[in-house]
Amino acid sequence: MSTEFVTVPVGSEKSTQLLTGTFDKSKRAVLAPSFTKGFQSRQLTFKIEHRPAVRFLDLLFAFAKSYRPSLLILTMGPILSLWIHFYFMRAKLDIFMGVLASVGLFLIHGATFYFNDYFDYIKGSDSSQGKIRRRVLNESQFPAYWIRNGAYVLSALGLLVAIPIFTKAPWLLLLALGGMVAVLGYSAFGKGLKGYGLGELAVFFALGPMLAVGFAHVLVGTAKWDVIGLGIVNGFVAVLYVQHRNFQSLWADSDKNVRTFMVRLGFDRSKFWLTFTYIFNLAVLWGINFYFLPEVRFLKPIGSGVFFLIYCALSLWYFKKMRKVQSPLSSKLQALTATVLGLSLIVQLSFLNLSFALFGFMRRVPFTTKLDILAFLNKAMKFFGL
Amino acid sequence: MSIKLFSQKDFPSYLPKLNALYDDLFSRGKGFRSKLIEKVSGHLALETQSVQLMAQTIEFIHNASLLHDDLIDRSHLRRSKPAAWLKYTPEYAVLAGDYLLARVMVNLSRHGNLELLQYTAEMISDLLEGEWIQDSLVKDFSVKLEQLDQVHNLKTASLFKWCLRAPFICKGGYHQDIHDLVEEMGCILGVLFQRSDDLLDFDIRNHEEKAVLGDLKSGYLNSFAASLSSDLDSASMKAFCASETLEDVYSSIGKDHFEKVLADFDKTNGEMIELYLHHCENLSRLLPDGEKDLVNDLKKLPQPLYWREK
Repeated sequence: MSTEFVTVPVGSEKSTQLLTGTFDKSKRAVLAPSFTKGFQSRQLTFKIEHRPAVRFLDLLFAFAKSYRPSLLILTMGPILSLWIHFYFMRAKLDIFMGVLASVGLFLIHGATFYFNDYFDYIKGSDSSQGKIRRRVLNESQFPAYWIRNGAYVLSALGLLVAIPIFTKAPWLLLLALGGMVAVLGYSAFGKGLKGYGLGELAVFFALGPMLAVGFAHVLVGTAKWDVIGLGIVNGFVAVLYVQHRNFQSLWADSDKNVRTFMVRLGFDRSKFWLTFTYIFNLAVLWGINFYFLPEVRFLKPIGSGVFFLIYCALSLWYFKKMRKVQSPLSSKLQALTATVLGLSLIVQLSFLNLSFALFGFMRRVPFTTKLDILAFLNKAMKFFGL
Repeated sequence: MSIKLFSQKDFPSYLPKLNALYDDLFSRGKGFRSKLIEKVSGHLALETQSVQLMAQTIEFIHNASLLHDDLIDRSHLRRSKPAAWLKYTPEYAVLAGDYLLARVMVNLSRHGNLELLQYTAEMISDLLEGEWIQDSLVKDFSVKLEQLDQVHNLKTASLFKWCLRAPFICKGGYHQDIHDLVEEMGCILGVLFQRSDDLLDFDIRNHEEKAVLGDLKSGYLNSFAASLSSDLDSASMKAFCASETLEDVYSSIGKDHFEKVLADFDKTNGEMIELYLHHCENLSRLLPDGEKDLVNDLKKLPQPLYWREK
């Protein structure tokens, strides 16, 4: 049986129907590969197929994948840290508002990435560029409008949950909307902020100081330097992640004339920049870990020493991997983003959150308990011959 | 119409070595691309002089790329004869390739079609970019088909899309949609041709009895090798990459796996051929009545290019 294809102009009503999957309930339209820039920018070709019944598990998997669970460490990581930190600091917590804000942020995280996937897919110009995540939409069995509707539902729920917060402090609504627009504006509209080299700035503020300061205000009604510091580091790590993604898509972006920061730098200088920022990032993190680690005998020198060794190992590992990346198409580049950075992010943020929590914990516990802990640590050190 | 691709008069007589090198290079070429130009131009009723120029242009560029390619890949044979870099030294091979590209620019600028000149220059820069990137993928044993497609798009496919679009540029007056469509079709043909060429490396439909496993032995995973190796465990992958003969390949990955991947590969490319035929139908709707017959000729191309049918 021969395959049915249909070609329509970009931006036409028919193309929107085919992209969103609203043209026929019994059929699905899969973007056919397209190889030339001229054709891609003016025409879209779809392969029309019978739409098989959707298995619930497949659907769940696709939606879960689009939720970007791995990136929750960037959005929910600092939230968790702040909870622990303020709890141990004996701050007066507004638990009800804090829970609402946490749930709201969790929902908005999903909504943002659902919208992001939907808008990226609707642009319909990158089917041949091998963007793996978009294949959740491109190759899956459900139409694109489902993910858009999922985004609407999550946004509505997120905002609904946050109503009590916004009525208490309306300016937080602006902060939340600003954060969402910054993340969405990163790539959604036209070339997006990343196309003007401003994507990093948006991501930094949205996932950095804005997130930490906003949540701290909800939870304890104030945000001091320590919260801003946590926000800055989190924002910095988020930018590092984003820049690696942009490095991975350097050629595709360059081909489409999307002038990301990495495209502006070029391949070799991007490699140098990323290596430098990665190692610098680890140095900053180590400094912060060192500062936050409680002034407890052995804990601070040994803890920071262990962190130092782990950071050195990570830096070396990263440096070796980066050296193997010889072209923007190198498969080593894909591995670099997928594994090295993923692991590194988890380690970095876990350490950051751990020392942050310990910092609060040691300030909270009574003096006698501190002595008990010290005695225990001394025993442990003796056991290891230290 | 018979096309004269190359004559001694095209090149300076006081450089006999250069002429001898070109004699060797052009003597056994099939001239497939120039024939494609001739076919397309015939339907557009272009002047003989223009057809001659385009045919010569594409063959000069193609052969220049072969001269450079052989040197980069250290290939010893070209069209069953010693490669130019071995016979005439690498320096001469590079200069001869450069000279061909320069001749192309001289000839086209004399012709005066600025759009054609610009399009040709873009194609040459694509070719070089593709060559550069392809070289960086040597020893990259995790490369994916999508990445290779991007290289083929720049290298092989850019020549094919030029063959299809250049005659339309030369004649002028066509709607942008036609230009977009023929360029896209040329690209698909190029990718199909390259993938079929990659199959020859594994002795599939190798009627011309080309040497096998050349790419793999030189550390380059071509499109079929990338498909074969995509799901292999590290031990099988290592054995596969170290294969010296086809028997080694079969024993490293299993004959059944080989056959299955081949069937999937053919199916994927069969779908691409269907996509190409769909574009042919669209082109037929866009072309003026007197030129619609071109589509019938274009529809026949995937058979010799991918399935290697004569």
